Order: sequence, then structure tokens, then C-alpha cells
Amino acid sequence: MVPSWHGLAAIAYQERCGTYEQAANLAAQSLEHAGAEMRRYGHLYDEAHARIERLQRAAEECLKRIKVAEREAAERERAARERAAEAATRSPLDGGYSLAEHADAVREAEAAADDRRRYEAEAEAEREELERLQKEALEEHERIRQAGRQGAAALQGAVAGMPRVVAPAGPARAPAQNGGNVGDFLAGGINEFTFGLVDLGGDKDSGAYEGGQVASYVPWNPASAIKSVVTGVVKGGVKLFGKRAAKEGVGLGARRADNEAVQNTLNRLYKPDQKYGGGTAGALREEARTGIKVHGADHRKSAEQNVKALQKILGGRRGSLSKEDRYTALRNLRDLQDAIRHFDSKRPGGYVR
Amino acid sequence: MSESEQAKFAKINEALVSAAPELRRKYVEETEAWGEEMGPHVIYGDVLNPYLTDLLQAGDDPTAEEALGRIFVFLERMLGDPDPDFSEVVTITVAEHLESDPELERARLFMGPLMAEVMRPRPPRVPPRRLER
Repeated sequence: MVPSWHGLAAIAYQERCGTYEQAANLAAQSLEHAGAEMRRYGHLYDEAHARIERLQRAAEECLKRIKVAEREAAERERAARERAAEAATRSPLDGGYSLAEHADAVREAEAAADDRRRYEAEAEAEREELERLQKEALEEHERIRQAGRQGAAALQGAVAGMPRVVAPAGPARAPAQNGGNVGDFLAGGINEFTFGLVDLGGDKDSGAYEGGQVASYVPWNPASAIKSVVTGVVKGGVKLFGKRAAKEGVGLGARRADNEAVQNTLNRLYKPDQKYGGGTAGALREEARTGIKVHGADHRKSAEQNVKALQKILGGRRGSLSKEDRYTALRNLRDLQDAIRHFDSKRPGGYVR
Repeated sequence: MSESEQAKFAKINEALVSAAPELRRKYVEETEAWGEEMGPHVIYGDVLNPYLTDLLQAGDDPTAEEALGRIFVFLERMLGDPDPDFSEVVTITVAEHLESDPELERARLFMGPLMAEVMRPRPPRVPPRRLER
């Protein structure tokens, strides 16, 4: 059993995932597959990118050749015709000598005109080549898109193969509005990891963002992850895997803490017979949602005082904390701060800020 | 935190240990451990609630009954205070704790009218129906 977890979440974890090491190996296998897919897509993308670059260069050279050929032919024809016209003008004064010159100029002009027509024909061929290159580039783009879709599907398949913990639902935050994407997940995780200092954006209502926030608290043994292939994918996947376990652990096993002050805080925040979920934060949200004070009293001050207590606990004021206790304290601190930040229960009616 | 808020915290917390002097030592220990005067929701939750649970589990012990009587009189006074900061500590931190106490029915024997009203079982709230246009 996971050594530092307690309660139903740990039991469910053991049933589904075995030991920490087994679960990590299972996750690593899935992610190795995902990593291979990502590498395959990466190679395809690199090759396609290089091909498109070559096509672009070829197209640019093609255009240059067309312009140069047309310009040269037109210039030669113009010069020859000017010489022919000049010879014709001078002919009466030169006693017919210029007639030969005129005839030469006309021939040269005609030759230049032939060249121009040839260049135009070549230009037409170059245009056809350019169109062919453009079409090829479009097809290359489409191949990349296809490869990306296949890679994403393979990645989803690999993630679905990772171990999950399914425990009875405990009081937790309201369900997220939508799934979100990897960017939302990372944005949520980084935001939470930095205590809100770094905000990369992301859809804050999405499940992925919330998952990233929760996952950023999950303690994880890096030894198993190091063995895996694609470090970035593994880290993200492992956190994704940890998200569910952590989320369900919050409502169950996390009610027990080793640190006395953390346990006392949990006792203050959560009551077994509460008719609303989420403890004090849940009460505050309920007041905000309905405009009716739970138990006829405003929970905001209670929430604020518990925030201060949790901050002191996390600051080390009440002794050392295990990873799990720190996670529990952080999770509850964030939950309370979120409830306080989003709702103003001092305002009568229309409580949502 | 402002000085006036700290002073108010101290006032509400001091009211508790005046009514139950046997809790003073624990209160001082907690305050020292936190490093400053903590809010009454924290102090009442950490000092009074466990004490109430112990007293309720003590059964017919006359000392425990005397202490319970004294504390519930104090809670009644807090609930009657015009300052909501006093009453809310009882309504939220103490009453919500008692609601889940296995000795709740025994606790009701010591409650005054205000506390009994706070602890009155309420039906679950049903959201109002929307009128069809």
C-alpha cells in the first residue's frame, strides 16, 4: 500500500494500482508508448518541415528566374528595335549604307523577340512548376495534420491505459465546466505551484486547469519517473495520473493529519454532518450562491481566520509537516482563498463578485 | 491585521477563559504556539470544542455537569450579544461542532433558548421554483 496515505483512498489505490512502484511502472509503460508516438510524430514533423522549406526555396528561385528571363528578353527586344528605328532614320543621308544596318537591327530585334517569346514560354513552364510546388506544400501540410491527429489519438490511448484510483466521492470542489487541454493543465499546475505568482492564462474553468492545480501538490517519487523515456510527457502524465488520486484523497484520507495543528484545522473546517459539501469553503460558496447564510451566520470571518492559521502552519509555525500534511494544508488554504476571492457574502443578494 | 481587530479577538477569546478559567492554560499555550492572538474561530475550535466533547462524554459526573451548565450559560450570553462577531463564533464554530457530536441530545439538556434555536433541526432547503411565463 502507498505508505503515507490513509483511509479509503489508499485502499482503492492498492486495489487498482498495487504498490507505488507497480503503479509507477504501469504509468511508465503507457507513457513510453505515448513517448514513442510523440517521437514518431516529431520525426514526421521535422521531415515535413524540411520538405516544405525546400519547396519554399525552390518556389522563390522559380519566381526569380521568371522575372529575370522576362526582363532580359524585353530589354533585348527594346534595344534592337531602337537600333532598327535609328538606322531607318539615318538611311537617306548615308546613301543606303544604313539600310544594311537597319536590316541587321531588325533581324536582331526579331531575334530578341524570339528570345522573349522563348523566355515567356519558359516562364509559363516555371509558373506551372510553381503551382505544382504550392500544391505539394499544401499536401505536406495536410500530412502533418494527419500525423498530429494520429499522434494525439495514440497519446490519449496511452493516457487512458494509466492506472486510476476510483474512490467514493467526498466533498470536493464544484465540477469543472469543461475538459481543457494540456496547456490549461500546465497553466493550472504552474499557477498553483507558484502560489498564484505565475499566471500563464489557460481556461481556469476547465478540468485540465483544476487538475494541474491539484496535481502540483501531489508528492511523487522521481526515481520511477527518471526511468521513463520522454521526460516532459512523463512528468505531465504522472501528474495527470496523480490528479485523480489526489483529488479523491482530499475528500477522504486527507481528513487525517499527523500534524496536530493541521488536524485541528481540518476539524474546524469539516463537520461530518454538514449538509453542504466542502466544509467552511463550501458553506461560503453556498451563501454566495443562494444569498442565504448557512446556519444564519456569515462564514467569511471563519474562513479568513482559518486561512491565517493555515498560512502560519505552512510557514512552519506549528512544527514540521509531512508531504501529505503540507498537501492537505495547501489544498485547504487554496480552497478557502478561492471561496473568499470569488464571493462577497457581505453584499446582500447577488453575492457573486 | 489591524490592532482593533486583534483587540477584538483578544476580547472574545478572553470572554471564553473568563467563563471557563480551566481553559486558560490551554488558551495561553495555543496563543504562544501561534505566536500571536488568533481569531476566535480558531481558539474556540481548538480550545472549547474538544473540552465540550470531553464534558459531554463524561456522563453524570457532577463536575462535568457543572462545567457544562456554566459554559452553555456563557454561550447563551454570546448569542445574545449585539455584536455579530460574538454570536457568529458560537453559531458557526461551536454549534456546527455540536451538531456532529454523538452526545448532541445530552448537550440539548444544557442549552438555553437561543442556543436551542440555533441547534434546531432544519429541513433541507428547497430552491424556489421558477414561474412559467
